[in-house]
Amino acid sequence: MTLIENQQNGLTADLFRAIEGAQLRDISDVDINDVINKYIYNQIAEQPSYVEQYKRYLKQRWDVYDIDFSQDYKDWHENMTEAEKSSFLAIASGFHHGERQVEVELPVFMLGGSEDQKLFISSQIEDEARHTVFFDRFYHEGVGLEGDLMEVLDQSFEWVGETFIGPFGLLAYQADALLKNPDDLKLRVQYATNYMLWIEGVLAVSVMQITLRYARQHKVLPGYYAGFTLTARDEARHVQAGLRFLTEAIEQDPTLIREVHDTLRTLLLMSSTSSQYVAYEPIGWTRDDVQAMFITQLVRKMDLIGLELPPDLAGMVQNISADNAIGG
Amino acid sequence: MSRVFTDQWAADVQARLSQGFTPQDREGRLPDYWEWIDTASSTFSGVLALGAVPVKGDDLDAGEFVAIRIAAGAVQEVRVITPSEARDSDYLLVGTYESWQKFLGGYDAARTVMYRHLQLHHGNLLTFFNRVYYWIQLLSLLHQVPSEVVVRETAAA
Ligand SMILES: [Fe+2]
Ligand SMILES: [Fe+2]
Repeated sequence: MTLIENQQNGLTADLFRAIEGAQLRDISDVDINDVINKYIYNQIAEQPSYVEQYKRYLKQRWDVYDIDFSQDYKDWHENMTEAEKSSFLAIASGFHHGERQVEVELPVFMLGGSEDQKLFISSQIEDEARHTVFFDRFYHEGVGLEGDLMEVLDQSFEWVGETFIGPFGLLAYQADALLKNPDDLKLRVQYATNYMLWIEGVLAVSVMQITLRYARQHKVLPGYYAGFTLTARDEARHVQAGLRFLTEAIEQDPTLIREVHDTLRTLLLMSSTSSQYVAYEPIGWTRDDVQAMFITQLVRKMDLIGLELPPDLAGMVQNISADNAIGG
Repeated sequence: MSRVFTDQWAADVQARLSQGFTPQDREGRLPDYWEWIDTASSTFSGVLALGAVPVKGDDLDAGEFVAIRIAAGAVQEVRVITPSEARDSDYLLVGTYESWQKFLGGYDAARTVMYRHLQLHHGNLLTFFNRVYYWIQLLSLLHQVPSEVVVRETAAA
């Protein structure tokens, strides 16, 4: 059995159909673990084309204004402990900002893509904007913050760890570099290694599981659970298309493998520390669980683009800090 | 006439940066984070330049600059430099006068970078980020140095 078949293990045709076709009204039946650890790998070996991914996007698009956060507000103010809320905010705020950052940094990557890739990226930009609005609504209507988009972001920045600037500062400056040279394949590979392989493919798909499993097991925050599970399904498309881009670029020019490795070296170095501990325990996780997820997701993604980690990077993987509770 | 980087300000910044990070600066963050920064800075010798231009995207000749010269993580000198000296620096971070006013007035360094109020004009992107938390904490020390641009521009606004 190949690694990919192994990853899909347990993804029956029924389960695939249930996730693929879920609408907002029935998404609460979907287990986030099935989305992140099974569904995302379906057909990934065949690498669906950008046009096929665009068609899936049109079918899976959800209306962020249809989500009802009234029970979330009740849960937040009556049914969750202070420790749970503080852990939750330390993790969710990294996404609140992460979604906004990946939304605004993506258009420049579209400029140098193939026609088909441009089509798909247009849909991803819209997905990321919707994810940003989703968090904005959650912080407004669930948590109770006030103000416009940026005012709410400024308030939640207080809960974001200082190492957030690592991958997301890099992404902003990579986007600046790409704006000057949109067709530079080296820059595009470095950018996709940070955005699609690391931020989405390793950090986001790991960290998403933390708050979602908590909400599911404790039967709280149903609006958050629904919207963020739909977000995870959107991320599956983003990661798949990003890995497709990296695979094709490396096939075209194998010297680009070096760009992937060099970018990962910087990302792993930035991720080897943290300015504060995130308290995972109140919402049912340990730092070891979280670090193990990061490592598993990275090894899987490298395997899917057919690359091995050189020895120095394999050593650095063991030092990834569990406190990088961020994603986008 | 300089609007952001005066000789006096550069001298004050040099006095502050050459002290390094004090126990108060390190407070509230994990020791591991500071160890990372100490390692990152100790392997850097070179010049980080800061630049201010009237409008985003303006030619460097329209701007004013300051150089922070560092040897193995210790700040040796901070002085006002010319645009051509700025071009020769290892890294150059450029922002508009407005951005500098906001940043020196206390806006945090991380969002200043993330929202591109300061942009990396030149210098290797990956090696810059290999020391990113050092740069962020170093920039944050500028908040401790009084700046005329904050008073003057705020009064003018
Ligand atoms: Fe997203
Ligand atoms: Fe995404």
